[in-house]
Amino acid sequence: MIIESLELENIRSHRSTSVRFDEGVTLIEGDVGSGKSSMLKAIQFALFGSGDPRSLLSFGKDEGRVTLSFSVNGRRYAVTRSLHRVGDKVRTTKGYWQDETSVVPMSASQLNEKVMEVLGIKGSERARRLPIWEYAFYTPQERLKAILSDREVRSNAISAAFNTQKYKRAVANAQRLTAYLSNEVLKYESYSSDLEAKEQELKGLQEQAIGIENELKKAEAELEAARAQRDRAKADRDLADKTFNQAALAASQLQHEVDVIGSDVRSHDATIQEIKHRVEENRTKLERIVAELSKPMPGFRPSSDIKKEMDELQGRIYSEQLKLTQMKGRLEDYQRALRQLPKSPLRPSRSLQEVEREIDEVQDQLNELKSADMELRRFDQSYDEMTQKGKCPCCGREIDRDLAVKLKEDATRKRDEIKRQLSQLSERISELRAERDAVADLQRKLDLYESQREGIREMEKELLEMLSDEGLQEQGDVVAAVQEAIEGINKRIDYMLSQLKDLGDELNRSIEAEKEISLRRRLEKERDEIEKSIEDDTARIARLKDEVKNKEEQLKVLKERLDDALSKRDAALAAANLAKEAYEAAEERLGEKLSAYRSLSAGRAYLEERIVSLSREIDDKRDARARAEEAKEVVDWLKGLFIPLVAEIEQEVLARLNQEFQDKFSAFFSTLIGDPQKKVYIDEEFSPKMEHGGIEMDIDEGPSGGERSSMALAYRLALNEVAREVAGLSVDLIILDEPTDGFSSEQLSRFRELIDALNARQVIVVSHEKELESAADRIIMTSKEGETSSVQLLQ
Amino acid sequence: MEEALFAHAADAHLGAQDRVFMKEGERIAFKDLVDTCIKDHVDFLLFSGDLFDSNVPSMTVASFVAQELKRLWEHGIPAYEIHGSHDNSPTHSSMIEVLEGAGLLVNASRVVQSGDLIALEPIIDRTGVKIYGMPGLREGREKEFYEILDREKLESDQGKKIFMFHSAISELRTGRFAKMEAIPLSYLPRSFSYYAGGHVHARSVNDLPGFGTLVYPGPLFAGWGIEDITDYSKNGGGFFLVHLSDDIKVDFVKEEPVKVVVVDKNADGLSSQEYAKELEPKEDYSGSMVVLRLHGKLKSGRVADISSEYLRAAYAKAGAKDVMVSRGELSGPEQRIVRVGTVSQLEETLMAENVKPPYKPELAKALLEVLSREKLEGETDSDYEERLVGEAERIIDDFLSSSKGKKK
Repeated sequence: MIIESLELENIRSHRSTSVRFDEGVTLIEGDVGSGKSSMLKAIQFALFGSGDPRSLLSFGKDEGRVTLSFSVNGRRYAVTRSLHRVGDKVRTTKGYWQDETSVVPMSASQLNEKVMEVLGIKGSERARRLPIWEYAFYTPQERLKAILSDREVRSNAISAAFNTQKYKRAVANAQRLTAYLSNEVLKYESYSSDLEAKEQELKGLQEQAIGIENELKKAEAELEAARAQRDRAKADRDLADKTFNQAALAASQLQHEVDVIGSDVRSHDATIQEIKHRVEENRTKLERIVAELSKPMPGFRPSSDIKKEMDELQGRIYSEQLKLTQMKGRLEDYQRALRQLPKSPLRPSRSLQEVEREIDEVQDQLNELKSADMELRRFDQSYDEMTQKGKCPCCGREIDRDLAVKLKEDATRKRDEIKRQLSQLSERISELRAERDAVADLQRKLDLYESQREGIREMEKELLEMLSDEGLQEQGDVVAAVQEAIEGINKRIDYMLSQLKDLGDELNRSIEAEKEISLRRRLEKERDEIEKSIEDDTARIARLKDEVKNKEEQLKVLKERLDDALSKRDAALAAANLAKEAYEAAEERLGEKLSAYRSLSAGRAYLEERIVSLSREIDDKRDARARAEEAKEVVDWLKGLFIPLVAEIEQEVLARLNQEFQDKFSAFFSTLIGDPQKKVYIDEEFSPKMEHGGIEMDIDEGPSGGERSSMALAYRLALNEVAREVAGLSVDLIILDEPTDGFSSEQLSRFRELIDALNARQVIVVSHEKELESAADRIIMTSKEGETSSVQLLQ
Repeated sequence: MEEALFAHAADAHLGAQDRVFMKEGERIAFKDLVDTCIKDHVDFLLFSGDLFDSNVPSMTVASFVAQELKRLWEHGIPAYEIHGSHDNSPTHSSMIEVLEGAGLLVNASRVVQSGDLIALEPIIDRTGVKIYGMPGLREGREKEFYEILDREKLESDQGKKIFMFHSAISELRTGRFAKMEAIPLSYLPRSFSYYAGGHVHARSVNDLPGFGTLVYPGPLFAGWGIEDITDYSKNGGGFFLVHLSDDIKVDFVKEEPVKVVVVDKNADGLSSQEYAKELEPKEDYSGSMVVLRLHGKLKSGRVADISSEYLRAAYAKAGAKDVMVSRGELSGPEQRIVRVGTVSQLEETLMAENVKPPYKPELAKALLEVLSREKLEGETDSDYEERLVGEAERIIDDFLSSSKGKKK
């Protein structure tokens, strides 16, 4: 894989960064914190989606994006991943995969699969994509320090990088498999332990089946014979039943005829009796009606006329009552108004207008005095100035001070007089205003009194009109006259009510008389109908008697024929009963034979089923036994060969990897240090060791800083190379993050030699060491201004 | 007549020791050297290279050395030195040069051009003895200077002459130094009174016909490295007091400021457990620095089973002041390292070798793939087992069915 370009948007300190890469050695150089390692983290994120999204997305930004372009085996690809902030969380949203022909949106996991497919990481290895990346291409600085210093971290890293745990897993799982198969063997053996017994049982059942077959044949023959006998008895029974049915039918028909005629005769007799009874009743009714009709009728006036008269009278009564109510109401209002009328109020001595006029005059005087006072006050101020300065403040002439004093005294006197007058006028105005208020109040009371008097006069006029309508004249006292009129109206109303009652009684009498006339007319009609009915019934009785006589003669003949038919029927019945008994006996015998046959048949079927089931079971058990044997062989093979072989492979692989690692580690270190007396090696646990002059050094305290860094770098590179080989990846790209920490100048100069020894097409080195510039084919300078990183490519 | 009493030391490698106990030994040894020089009123001190273990030692070491050299200076004893293969710097970034600049050390190497060759200007001590010095360089590259050295000029200088050098001599290499980078004896100028050597970490006094007395004092203390420490444990360190007059009289002053005990155990034929037991302390090591030399090939077990931390603790419990461990020569049991392609191919190779009919390697491979799968995120143990065992059972059933021609 060769990285071609990297575009960052809002990734860590990179707001918008676009940088191209090429083959050869690229140095990403910049001060600490300028954004160098961020680019490596972005590459890792773009390829594998790894890294904490929250730490990748720039602070304060909601959207971020990484696009990495790279080529594998000459084919070019680009992967884009996006980050999106929602509240406190940052998610990886849908990204894009681009190859030479298309751009396809993909989810994060789809992109991971695609990248691994393109990189050639096998399906079985894809769960290890991160370890492969970390140990084959790029080991972060912090992780490398931990690998060197911490035994457990180192052990885990070696295990992850070289995938050595797979053998231990395989052995453990193989042991589980053997345990499982052993269990299966036990189950199969247990299941097939009774195989021989089952075979014996099968043989017994087969012999039984043969016996039953013979019995079944015999039972079948007997069954056929019984069936034939039953059929014959059935035929006889059917014939006898038919003969009986015919005789019964003939007798039944004759019986029916006899019944019908007898019923007719009886019916006619009943009808005759009924008619006779009806005739008697009608005669009785007729006599009663005739007696009623002979009674006399009283005289009366029609009820409609009476009702009309009553309505007119009621209307007059209402009218009088209304008049009475109005008169009473008016009288009460008049009397109340008279009671409520107050005493006549006093009249004011002057009119309101006169008072107002005097107020205006006094006010004018007041205003004139105020103006004069103002004028005098101005002169007063001037006099003060004249007195002090001896000059006229207006024209500036010299003024005699005594004169000024005198003028001032005159002015002061005048002002005092004015003030006195003003005081008097103010008092006068106050008095006038009080008088004005009193006059206005008296006027209001006078107006109200006049209004009430007018109202009383109107009511009196109305009452006089009412009296006039009654034909009465007012003679001094209106109230008394009205009361007299009211009494007169009351009397008239009482008389009309008495008349109304009498009319009501007459109306009741008239209604009763009208009802009686209606009844007489109905009785006359009924009398005529009854006479007609009696005549018709008498004629009908005679006819019915003739019919009865004819029917009785027919009945006699039919009875003789019926007796004959009944005798024949009884004889047929006896024959049918005999045939039935014979049939039932044959049926019973057939049932017995059939039952016996079925029983034998069921027994045979059961045996057959049992034989089939047992045969199947025996086949299963034989199969199980065979499988148990097979499984045993497999278990033996797993335990005896496979598991030890895997353990051996693990040892061989580890030894091989250890030796290769050792060779590379030692070679890389020698290239960097150049002192043959200083050596490094690893033990079986890949723990790094250093010797100086053949004496083991404490790697934490003995070596210098540069030697430790050289050992770390040599270890890293050896790890990278061996991890790549294990993953089956070709060496194209190596990424080194701050690999020369503590290097001396001489070691830095050897660094290029070391890079050349790696034979990688592309090497990306992140460092703040300027001395490495000479080892680089191109330099990407990172810098940071404020919170934002920027890059510059230098060829 | 020039006559002098001087101390000749070399290869102090101050700063080489990283154990506290041994660091103290370094200091004591150097202090003893200075004390002896003062007590015995030597005329000067010769230091033939590798005073420090590196061109820039720690400040603690540099400060200590400066103070000790200052004592010499205060007593009017010059300290002449040459740069060694460890403490020189091609870019003049060395503590030695700082001390030279301060006047506490005198660099005896004064290289001057002599036509196409180079010559060495001597330092003439107040005793009249001439001291010439040739520095040592890494990996014996000083050889190139010897090849253009104007030996004739050196040899023609009169008076008592001392030649300080920091190289091995091919003809004198023995033992563990037999294959060391060296210069032939002929590269040295002849007829010097005394050849003050350094660089070879073994003590020797050689009377060389045509040359003179050539002395290697060996490390002042324990040098550096396991071999030096082992030698120290047997022989100690030290320096020579040399009386130079008409003849040469050399007396070795042993320096053994700390006791070092080397426990050497071979692991051949032992399991890791047996070897670990063998290594346990069996005596009292009070007051000693214990050096454990672990080497050999374990019969079984792992090298990692032999814990350095455990051994340090065990020997500390037995009284050791400190424990050094050398285990670079210890290896695990013989393992066949199959170098066949990738790990996957290795698996296939081993399966092909071991899986015999009626079973097939393909079955083993398929089972390995299934049974090595990891538990999925959120999957319970029982579901995981059921999934894997189910799949494995299906694979086995398919295999058995196809291989035995059975119907499922």
